[in-house]
Amino acid sequence: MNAPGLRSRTLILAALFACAFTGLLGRLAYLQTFRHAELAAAAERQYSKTVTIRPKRGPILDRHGNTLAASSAAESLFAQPRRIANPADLARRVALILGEPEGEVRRRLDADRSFVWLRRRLPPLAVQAVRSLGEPGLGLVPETMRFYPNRELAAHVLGFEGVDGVGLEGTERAWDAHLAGAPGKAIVERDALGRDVTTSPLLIKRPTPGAGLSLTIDTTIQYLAERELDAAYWRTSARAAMAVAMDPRTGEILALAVRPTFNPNSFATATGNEWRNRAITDPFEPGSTFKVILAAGALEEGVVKPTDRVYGGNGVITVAGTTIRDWKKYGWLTFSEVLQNSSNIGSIRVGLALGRDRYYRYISDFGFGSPTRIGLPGESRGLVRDPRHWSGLSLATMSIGQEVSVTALQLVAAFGAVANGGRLMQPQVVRAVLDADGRETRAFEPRAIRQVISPETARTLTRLLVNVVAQGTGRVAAIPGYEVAGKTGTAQKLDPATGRYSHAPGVLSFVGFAPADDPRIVMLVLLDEPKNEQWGSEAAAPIFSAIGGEVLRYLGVPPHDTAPVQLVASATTVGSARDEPRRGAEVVSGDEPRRDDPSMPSLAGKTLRQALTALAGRNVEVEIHGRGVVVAQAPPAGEALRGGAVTRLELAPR
Amino acid sequence: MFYIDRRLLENVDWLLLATAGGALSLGALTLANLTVSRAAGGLVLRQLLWIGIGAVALVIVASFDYRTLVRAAPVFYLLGILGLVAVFAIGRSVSGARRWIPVGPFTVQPAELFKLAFVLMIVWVLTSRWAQPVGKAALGLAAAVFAVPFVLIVKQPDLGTALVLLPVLALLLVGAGIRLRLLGGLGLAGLSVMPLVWFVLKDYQRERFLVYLDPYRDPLGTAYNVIQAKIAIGSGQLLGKGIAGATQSRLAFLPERHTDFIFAVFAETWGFVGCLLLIVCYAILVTRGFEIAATAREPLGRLVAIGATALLATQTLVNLGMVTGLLPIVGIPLPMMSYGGSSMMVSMMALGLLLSVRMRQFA
Repeated sequence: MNAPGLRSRTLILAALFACAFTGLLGRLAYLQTFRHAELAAAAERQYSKTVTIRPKRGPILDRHGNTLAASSAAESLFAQPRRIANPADLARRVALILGEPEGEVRRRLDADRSFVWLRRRLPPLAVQAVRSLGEPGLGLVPETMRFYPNRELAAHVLGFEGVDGVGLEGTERAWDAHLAGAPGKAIVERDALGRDVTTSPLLIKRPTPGAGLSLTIDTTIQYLAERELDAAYWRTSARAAMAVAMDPRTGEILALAVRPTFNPNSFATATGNEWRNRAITDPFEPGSTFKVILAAGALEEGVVKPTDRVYGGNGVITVAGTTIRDWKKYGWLTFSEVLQNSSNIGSIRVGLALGRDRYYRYISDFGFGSPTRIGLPGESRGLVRDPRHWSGLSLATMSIGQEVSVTALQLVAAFGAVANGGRLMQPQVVRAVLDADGRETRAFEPRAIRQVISPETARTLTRLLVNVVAQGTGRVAAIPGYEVAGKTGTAQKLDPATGRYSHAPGVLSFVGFAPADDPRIVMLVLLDEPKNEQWGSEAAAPIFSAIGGEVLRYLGVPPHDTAPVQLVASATTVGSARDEPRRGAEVVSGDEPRRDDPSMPSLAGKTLRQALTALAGRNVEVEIHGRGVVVAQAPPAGEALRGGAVTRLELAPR
Repeated sequence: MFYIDRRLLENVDWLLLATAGGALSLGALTLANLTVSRAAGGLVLRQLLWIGIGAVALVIVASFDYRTLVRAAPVFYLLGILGLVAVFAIGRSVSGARRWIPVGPFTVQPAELFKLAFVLMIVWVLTSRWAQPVGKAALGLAAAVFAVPFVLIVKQPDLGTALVLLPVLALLLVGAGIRLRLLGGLGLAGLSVMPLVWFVLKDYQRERFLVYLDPYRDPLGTAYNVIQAKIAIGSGQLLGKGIAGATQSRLAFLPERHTDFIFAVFAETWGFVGCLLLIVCYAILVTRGFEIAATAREPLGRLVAIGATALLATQTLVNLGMVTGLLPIVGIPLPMMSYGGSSMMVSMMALGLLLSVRMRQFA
């Protein structure tokens, strides 16, 4: 062939390829314009039915690593109705496995759909039964199931996870983004005509498990609080009850119990009334407990000293033309006695002396009127009106804790500040975020919000509150062996019918902390409209005493009447380490193995105080020689102890 | 060796380079888009590195006189065959196929690089004195040169790459002036033995062919790619969904989206308008390649240009045809766009050959 011929041949090739590219453009135009709608719509429905696979939700643990909520593998059952040959027969067999009415199952199997859920999170036995059916129209998708092993315990703190894997209340909701993890994807259906469908879904994207949480809650303290609260709740037929315990030094919530309650494992049968965390969502009028806030401000500002005399006005005072009556006629009282007896008139006089703006400042500084930001959903800020909107009567009524509403958590935090040398701590319920292997990835350190009152004022106020419990209205809150500081509170409720305070029992509360000199726990106990209550207006105080006593022993806080501490060198004295009389029921032995252990503990290296604490409850006589730390003991560690046995301790300076 | 005559530089084909640059940058952009939200960002950097190395290779190849290269063709060819044999000995197996040889941090695909040696070798054979005039004798020689690597590549197995050699061979024969009747007869004979080939194919290859005939035969298995690619392209519509167009979730469905199916990603992102631009780029590049062939000084240059163009054009068309569902799925990357070093090197060196011919057509 000649050169020009070959040249034209080459150009013809070029033309052919150009045609091919044009054809390709035609194909693209066809796909991208003409068939666009069809292809886009077909994507989900027709070619590939995808389901999201729930990642394993992170666990929620208490402060010691006990499981409060955990997820375990489960499988969900779906059906592909168009692939089922004999729906009647299958419905009968599936209904038997699921324990559902046959008609209901039949209805779903007959649906003119390519995919329908039959049951989410099937129990393992049912999974086996479904597998053994060998029905190609049924399939299983792996999912996870949330389990709350302690049932109602701390239910309001935990909240619960809804059917679709989203946390709906409590920590589950507030920390949903952390707990949830990232979902995976799987294809369960192969084509629209139902051909080539397998029962094992094709995994496209593996789910990532969620992070875990370590709460500040102590399961044992929570259990103690729940047990006592529950008993009181049922005994008094109260509308609601709550107990909130916090470590005043750190702001960590140790227990938060609310009644009525629910079981998060079957949250669907509970109502909002039951799963609402009243301790943070429902503000109430604090009544007399609020006098402590007033006292803090008045003492700090030097308006009054504990020994200053205040006139009780024989039970009557007139403010802004309105006459207010005390619950009991008092004459002259020291300020200490005003708190002890919870005198309204006395408090009002102090309040008037402190003045509107200063009082408001202390109320705000103690955290009232703003949410605590504990990080649980639905928190109320309570109601503290701006001083500009106070009426002439407001200062007086607010001095006795009326015309103001607070949440239980706010009140605990404020008392915690008094217990903590005047320093208000940020209440927290989440201690740390954990990774999939349980290692802490992010820890939340205790955080001080502000110094509300000086440590001296806090100490003075604490002494006054100790008197309230030792001699005043809070007597039934006393915990034998420990010094308790606290205050009772009673608030009548506004009767919606008359618009006046009703005479029915309203909100009864006790807030306090112990031991007074080195507080380890600050706690609020509240009963909402208790009936047939023998303790009258002090109904909440004995519950405080019951919970507080057990918690302090559980925390290993030495009671001060355990041993007369004789530290005279070479003098042979016999001290008693007998346990003080127990109150309430026995502590669950699993929580405190130490206490029921009949053998001699090893005391070497311990201080006398620690040694006596360790021996407390073992009913032994103790002989002490020398001072310092224990260097020798008889009988030796591990030996069985008989009741009344004499234990000899040798101490030497460190 | 790297000396380039100034006269040669004046004849650099800027249009060719511009269209190639267009395709290269659109490819890199699509890769970046694919990997921007994921940890695999290194993919783009690696691809850019390959483009850089490829550009150097392009310049080196272009600086050689193509006649020198064709003279050395038997050496390249033998080295290539050696490489193909080596795959069986030291190759790395990926999803059931031994196609790669590890070289330092990279892996090389000898079958890819062999394509160039093949083009040069066929040109060498067709311009040798034994093949003159181009007729049955030339056909026989070319068939022998073709058969050995074809079998080796099919055995890897990599049917797609092996099959690409066939149209390249055919185009070279046409360009060399073989009588069309002879070629046509051969083609018919080939078609008549096709049914026999069915029995030679592996199961998955048969399945691919059946799926080509009926994509909904197995939508989640073999046809999954075809369907997902079609959905991706179709949902791109006229203007595309844009880089941030929430397309990634859909694309996560698409396997091989950064290699063989990258065009589907591009089409979804930029729509028909983008596709038009890209395809015009490729079309200009290919027609320009043939134009270089037509205006070459002598038969040798023409054949080298035809071979290089055929290599690029065939792969482009087969890949685009496969992604748009016009052809059965064969694993062939899109030249200058798909991720992959070996493929990038081959494309760049083919461009280098074209330039080499072009620059010397007046010399």
